[in-house]
Amino acid sequence: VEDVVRRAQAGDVLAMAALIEELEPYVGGICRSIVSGAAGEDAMQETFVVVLRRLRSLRTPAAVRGWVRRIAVHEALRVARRRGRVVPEADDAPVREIDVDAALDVRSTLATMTPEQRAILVLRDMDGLSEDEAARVLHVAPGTVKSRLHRARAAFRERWSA
Amino acid sequence: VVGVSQAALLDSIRRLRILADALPGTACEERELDVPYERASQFLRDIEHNLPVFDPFVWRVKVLTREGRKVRMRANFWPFVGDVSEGWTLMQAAGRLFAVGIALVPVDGGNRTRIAEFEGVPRRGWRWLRPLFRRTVRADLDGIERCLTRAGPGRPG
Repeated sequence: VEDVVRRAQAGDVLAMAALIEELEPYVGGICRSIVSGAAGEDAMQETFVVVLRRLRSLRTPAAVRGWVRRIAVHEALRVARRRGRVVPEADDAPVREIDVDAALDVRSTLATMTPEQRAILVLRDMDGLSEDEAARVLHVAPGTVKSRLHRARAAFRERWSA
Repeated sequence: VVGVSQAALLDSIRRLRILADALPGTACEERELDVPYERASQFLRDIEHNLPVFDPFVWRVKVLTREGRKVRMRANFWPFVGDVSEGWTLMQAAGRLFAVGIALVPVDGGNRTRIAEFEGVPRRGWRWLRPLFRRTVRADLDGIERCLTRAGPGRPG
C-alpha cells in the first residue's frame, strides 16, 4: 500500500482509486461501527475525500492506516452529529429495548449505542489503541477516554446480556 | 469487542464522486437511464468503438494492450492508461494532464441504470475549469443516453 500512497501523493488518479479500494474494508469497518446505514456510507465517502485532499501532508506512507483511522473516526462522528444521532452521554443513560435474538449479534448491540460510545469501543477494543492514542484521535483528554470507555463497556455489557 | 469490523464497500458512483470532490479541477455528473444495466455495461465495455460515438472531442480510440483490469490505449493522439472493470472505467492521460471516468450502478434490479461521469485536470490550480468540465460531462452523458435509448449499443443508426 505504501507504493500506492506515494503514487497517489504524486497526483496519480489511478493510484487514488486503488487506495480507496485498498482501504475501503478498513474505513467501512470503522465508519459503520460508529454510524449505521446510509450514514455509514456518507461517512466513508467523506473520509476518503479528506484523505485524498490531505494525502500530500502524510509524511510516512507506512503509517497510512493510523492516519486514515483518525480521519475516519472524526468524519463518522461529524456525520452522526450532523444527523442528530448523538445523544448527550450520561452515566444513567437509559437502555433502549432491543430484540433478545438480535442482542446475540455484536453489531446489533453496537447499533443501540451512541456514536461516541461506538467510537471509543472501536478505537480501544477493536483497534487496540492506548488511552493516549485514542485521546489524540478524539481530541479529548486521556481521562475522558478512560471514563467514556468505562461507560461504553458497561453499556455494551448491559445491552449484550439483556 | 474484537471482530466487529465489517467488509463495507462503496458503489462505483460514490468512488467516482470522491475523486471529483477531492480534485477541484474536475467535475462529476450523474443521472438515471431508462436502460437495463447489462446493456449500458456492454456499451461502455467497448470503449474502442463507442467512446468516439458519444464524446464529441474524441474521433479515434485504439486499445493497445489489455492485461486484466489494466488497459493502455490511445485517444486521438494522446496515450492513456486505465482501469476497466464491471461498471467502472477510469482513464488517465500521459503526464496526468487529464482524467476521465465512468461508473455504472444497477437500479431497480438491473432494469435501469445509474450512470456517473467524471472528467477534468487532476492537478492543483485548475478549479476554474470545473464549470467547463461540467458542461462537457453533461454532453457526454447526453451522448451516451442518446446512443442507448435511440439506437442501441454501438454507433447510432
